[in-house]
Amino acid sequence: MLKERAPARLVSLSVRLFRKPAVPVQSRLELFEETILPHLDSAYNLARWLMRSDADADDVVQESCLRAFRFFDGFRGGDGKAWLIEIVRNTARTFQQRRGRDSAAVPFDETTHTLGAPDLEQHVADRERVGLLHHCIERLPVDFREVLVLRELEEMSYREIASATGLAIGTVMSRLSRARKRLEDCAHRTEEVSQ
Amino acid sequence: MNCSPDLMEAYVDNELDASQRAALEQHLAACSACSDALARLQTLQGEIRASAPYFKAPSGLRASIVDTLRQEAAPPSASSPQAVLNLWRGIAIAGVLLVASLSWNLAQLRMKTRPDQIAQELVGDHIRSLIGTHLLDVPSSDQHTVKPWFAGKLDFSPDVRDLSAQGFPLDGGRVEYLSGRRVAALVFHRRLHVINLFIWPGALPGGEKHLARDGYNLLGWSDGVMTYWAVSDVSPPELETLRALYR
Repeated sequence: MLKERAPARLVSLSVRLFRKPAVPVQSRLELFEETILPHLDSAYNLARWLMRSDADADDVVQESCLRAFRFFDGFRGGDGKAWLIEIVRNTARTFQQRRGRDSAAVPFDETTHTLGAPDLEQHVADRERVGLLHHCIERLPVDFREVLVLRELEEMSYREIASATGLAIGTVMSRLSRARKRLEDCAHRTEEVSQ
Repeated sequence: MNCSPDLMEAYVDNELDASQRAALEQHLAACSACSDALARLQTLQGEIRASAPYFKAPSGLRASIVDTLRQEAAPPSASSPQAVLNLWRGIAIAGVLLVASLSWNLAQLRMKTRPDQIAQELVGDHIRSLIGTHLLDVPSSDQHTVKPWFAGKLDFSPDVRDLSAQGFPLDGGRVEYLSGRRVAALVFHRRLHVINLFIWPGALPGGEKHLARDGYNLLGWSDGVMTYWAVSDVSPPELETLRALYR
């Protein structure tokens, strides 16, 4: 059964490699602008929460849109938001892994990483400004943070989150549940410390 | 009714259907422990939404992306070095594919025996279920939801069990087409690994089989009425544990 299909696949693949794009370039970009770019805010929000910095979020979203555009022929309609979010998520992971390797190469310097008194005051003030829960969410492990952001800020359903992350629905539910548990614990602990 | 945390969260996340909502609300009215737990969840949800900012894309971002994409989309002229390179790249890929396809077909011819074919089909199906979005037609950890779902889709009724307590939580199931018939595929997970358990009527000729393909382990057995094949990347002893639980 598979044997008969393989040559046919090969032919269609070579045809795809050599033929001109079926959709004219201009309208391909227009189609992309219509179907994918309306979800730019969602993409940026997720990237910003995953990367925790404006500059990194910007880079991740730029890179994600470029990747999305390159793979756009593989997008068969459907949920453009879930599709873009999946790409943002993977791109953010790649950035973080790269970052992990870089920072592992730099030895940890006690003197530059210990907060001095003025820094500490600033740190506490910052923390009050952004709010307790914001602080706690930023410190959630990235796997938990991502499902929480998709559920609470993007208001996506379990099924949509599962399709955007490639996780099983059961995994989405358990990560969300553990994220909430951790948030409650973190909020309590931090409240006690600041009192 | 027991008000499990899962059920409460599904409630605040709007994931329950009307009858499940009604049943839970009726129970909440009578159970203060549950309504307290629910109130805590709702408060937390409200606080999260109030204190976690939604970061909108900065105003210049969209324009700068569209600029980049326009450059990306500009067609390279036919005789540019890039186009020539692409042509050669295409020819090279086609050549590699041709050789790969020929050798693969030869390999297929060599292993034409029946268990091998089934094993190949099973592993192929397992991999497709993981890379695609078609892992579950009926996502539910409740055997009493999954089993009735198969009725009307199959000409037999598969034995559906939830083995959460034994470390094999049920994720749900789907219908697959294998070896020329419809079969049931139950999805369990073991830690982070997915296990597909394929079930169809009939005995397994030659009795129990242990196979390994492309890094996946397969265990086939039959209880005389149904044939079972478990496929996963967990170790063979763990598949045997699953089989023992299914006997």
